[in-house]
Amino acid sequence: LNPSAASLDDFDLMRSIAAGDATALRDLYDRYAPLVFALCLRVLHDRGEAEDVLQEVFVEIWQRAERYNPGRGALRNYILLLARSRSLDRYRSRKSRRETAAESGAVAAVEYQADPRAGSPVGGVVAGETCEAVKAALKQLDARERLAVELAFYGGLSHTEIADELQAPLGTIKTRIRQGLGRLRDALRTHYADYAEGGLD
Amino acid sequence: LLLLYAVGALDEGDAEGRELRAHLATGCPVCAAALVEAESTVAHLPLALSPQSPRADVRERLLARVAALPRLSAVAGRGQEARAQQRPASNWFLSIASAAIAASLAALLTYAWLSSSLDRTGREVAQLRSEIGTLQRNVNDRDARIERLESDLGQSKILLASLQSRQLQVVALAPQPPQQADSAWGRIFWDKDKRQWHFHAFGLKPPGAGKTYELWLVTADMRKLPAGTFDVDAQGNASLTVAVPPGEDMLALAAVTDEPAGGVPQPTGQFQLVGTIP
Repeated sequence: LNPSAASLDDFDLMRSIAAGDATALRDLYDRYAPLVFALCLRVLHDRGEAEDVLQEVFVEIWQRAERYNPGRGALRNYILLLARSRSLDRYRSRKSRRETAAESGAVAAVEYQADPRAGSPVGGVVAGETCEAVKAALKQLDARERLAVELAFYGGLSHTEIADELQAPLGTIKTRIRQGLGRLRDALRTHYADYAEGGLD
Repeated sequence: LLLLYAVGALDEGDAEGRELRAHLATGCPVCAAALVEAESTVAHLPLALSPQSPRADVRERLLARVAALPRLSAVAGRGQEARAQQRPASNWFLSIASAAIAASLAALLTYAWLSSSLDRTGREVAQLRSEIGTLQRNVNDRDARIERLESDLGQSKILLASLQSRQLQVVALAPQPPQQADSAWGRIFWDKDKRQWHFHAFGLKPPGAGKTYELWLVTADMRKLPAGTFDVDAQGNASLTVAVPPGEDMLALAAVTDEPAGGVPQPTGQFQLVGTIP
């Protein structure tokens, strides 16, 4: 039996990959590549480099499938944090820290347009309601909170570097990041509680 | 502070960060669970991005590349395969030795048969008794197997009924510390219609003399509610069905500890499995 990708959840796909099933890796790629590529592109601003990192991420998943620990969270989170880490590694190796900080304002400001070929929402797998919940939560943030969060996440900057970049006190930057992410966390708690009760997705 | 840590915004030299890292290294399950939630929050940020299509050849190049690449865990397994391939040589030697022993034994029996028909009859009787004993053991083994299968079937029916629930949540439990990722694991199927947890554990070690395993429901405000004790079979597997107490729907964690036989009202032992409930 070779169940279709749609019938396998992430956990089963990862188990198949760990058992050496390349078809499962292909299915996982189809499921998450548009989202992972969007993340790589957002960090790197270079399609060629973003595609390189996209491929590296899935090669690493293939070679190190056993590193994924379901107790540490959903597979989607694991893949996205891995992609973010590898993208930042590539970005840092390309630029000096000074250049990185100077460009990171642009990192936070650029928003790529939706690619209709990529499917919607997010390759048809990540529930649309969750994407909308995240977008709505981020829109509720103060613009300065959102900028600080995005400089940390997409720019890979520490709070000290963000404080230097934005010419703001360190404590203020810490507060903005903590409040911004705290509001996102609260919104997600509400979203998933609704999901549990009403089967949103 | 965990949110700052999860997004990578803490400087290496930050005193609060050092203190936090040291605390997390102690394996505190409460902070570990909070960190999982913080990392999950951070990992949701890219969901606000518009999905993008890489070029189609990226997928083809990836698949061609992995086809030529060994999986690193598979490389480790190859040594075992090589060792397994060595077995036929030693088996060949053992076969020769066994054949020689069998031939010697046959000669001895022939001599015995020639020297004393009474002795031969006695040996045949002993042999028949031995075969009867073997058959009896086989029957006992099959009875035990049937009993196990019936028990498994009963568990499967319960699980199947829960999987048909319209309000089903699956919770994955991982070993503690998380580095032991290839050892024990567990899953809970939370049937919210019937307010039941169907808990399954796999690969747990025996809890030790005078001890048992205990399952815990941990609420969002970190109250730990005992959910029952259980023992594991020879493979380290166990199943348990638990009624979720009324009014306790805001659960944050499921955990398994090892405790004195009979269980305790609050956890005192080591956390063996922990799973966050999103």
